[in-house]
Amino acid sequence: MNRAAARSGSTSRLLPVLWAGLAVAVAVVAGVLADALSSSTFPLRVATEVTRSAMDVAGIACVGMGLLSALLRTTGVAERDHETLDRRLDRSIVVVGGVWVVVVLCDIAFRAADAYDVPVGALGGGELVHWATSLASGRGLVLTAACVLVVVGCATARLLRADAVPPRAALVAALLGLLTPAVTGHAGTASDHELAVIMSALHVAAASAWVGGLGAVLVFLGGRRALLDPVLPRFSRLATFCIVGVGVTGVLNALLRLPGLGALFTTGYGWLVVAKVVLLAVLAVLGNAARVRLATGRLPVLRWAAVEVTVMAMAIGVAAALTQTA
Amino acid sequence: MSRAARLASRAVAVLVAAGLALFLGAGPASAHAQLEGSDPPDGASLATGPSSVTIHFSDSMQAGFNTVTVIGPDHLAYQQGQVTAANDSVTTGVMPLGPAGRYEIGYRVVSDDGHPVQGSVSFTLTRPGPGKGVPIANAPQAADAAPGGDSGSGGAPVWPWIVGAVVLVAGGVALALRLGRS
Repeated sequence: MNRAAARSGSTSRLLPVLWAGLAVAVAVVAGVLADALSSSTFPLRVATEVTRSAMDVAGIACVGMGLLSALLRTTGVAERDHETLDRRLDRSIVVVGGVWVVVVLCDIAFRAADAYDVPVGALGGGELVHWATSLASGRGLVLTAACVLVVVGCATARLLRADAVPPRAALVAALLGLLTPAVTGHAGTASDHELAVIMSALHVAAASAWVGGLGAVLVFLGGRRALLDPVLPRFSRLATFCIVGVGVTGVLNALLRLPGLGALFTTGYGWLVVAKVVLLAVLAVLGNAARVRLATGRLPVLRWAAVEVTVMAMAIGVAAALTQTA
Repeated sequence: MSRAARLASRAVAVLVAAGLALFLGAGPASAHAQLEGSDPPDGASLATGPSSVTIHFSDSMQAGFNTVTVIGPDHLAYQQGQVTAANDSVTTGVMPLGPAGRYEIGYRVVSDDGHPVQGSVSFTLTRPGPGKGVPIANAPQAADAAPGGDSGSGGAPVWPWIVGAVVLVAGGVALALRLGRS
């Protein structure tokens, strides 16, 4: 029993790092393969893929932990469990939020250097400010940084006094922080502006709640039946809505962007779309299998879910590459 | 058995539905800004050199980031003045051209999405002009507001500030965790 507990502890600490690393690695490989940002120097291409995907990963982690914190407020969760877990969640949000802020700052610097075609070391303050304030995407990143600071602030306030802010506050701020780069990116300048922006926002929100939520459930509730039993069915219902939302909005978005069906197989962007459709299908099957097992009371659902999050991490990497691709 | 079959059929259904949805429609627009045309147009033959070149894109252009060069057959630069950005096009002035031959208009521009796009178009001068270009090395960068460069308008390097901000954030997180422990 002791050994089992120790093992689950070390896995749960290692898993998120593995997932994050996988997402970033897939983003870099997919971005290079799809020849995204071909006008930029190679080091800057890799650097922006890394910061972009790390931003997504940190944001999704914050959304997931905020969501779990909100889901915990349900009948059947003992007051004591709930309080200790809340503290763990808030501490993790502070740390991940801090990483998120740093990555956003680096992303702004890399992309400004990219726009001016200078090495990062030679980038001037005036240039950085000009990039961050005059371009829609620059303003979006500044807004993201502000949202992340709110997330960290909320979690810190809750650490100091448990009932200072409702857990929903951090969740909403994290969602907004994730959404702004998506809606101020390419979609914001596409021709079907409003539709593309709404679709992107819904897509990102549904995907992050689903992926982040599942990851947080695995890491924080793994092996704790007393907490899993009340929380997992609630999350499973939410995940079903999310997967439908992700599929529908993702397909509509790709339709808005691609000039024709031939582009699916002739452009790097098209190939990334195909890769995401395949990953989503795999996820839907895995998720359904997990749900069936859950309904019949057959565990381990958790092993399924760990595989699922791994596939999700790959999908996020591809998604990050997509946002940079023509 | 039946569960596996049901799963498989569902997987196929998801794939088919997603594939169908993708194949049924077609949408406009691509992600990055794209070259839509230029004045003089790509591949044009001109008897007299233009006084300016304008390049049109599919997206609105932002002032302050764009570079346009006009390089002649003698490998000298012929652009002059500042690059101006208006709506979806960028324009730069051109000196009187020199020898007849192929002139290459190179551009590197940044649209609202923040990503740089570069490429080139060219035109051919059929009759030699009176002008003489300047060596590429000391040609005006032709970037509007010429950031960086010799004017130094970009100011001191910004990376120490970024490092400072990172240290500040790390300190803040450590402090929050320390305070939250009590």
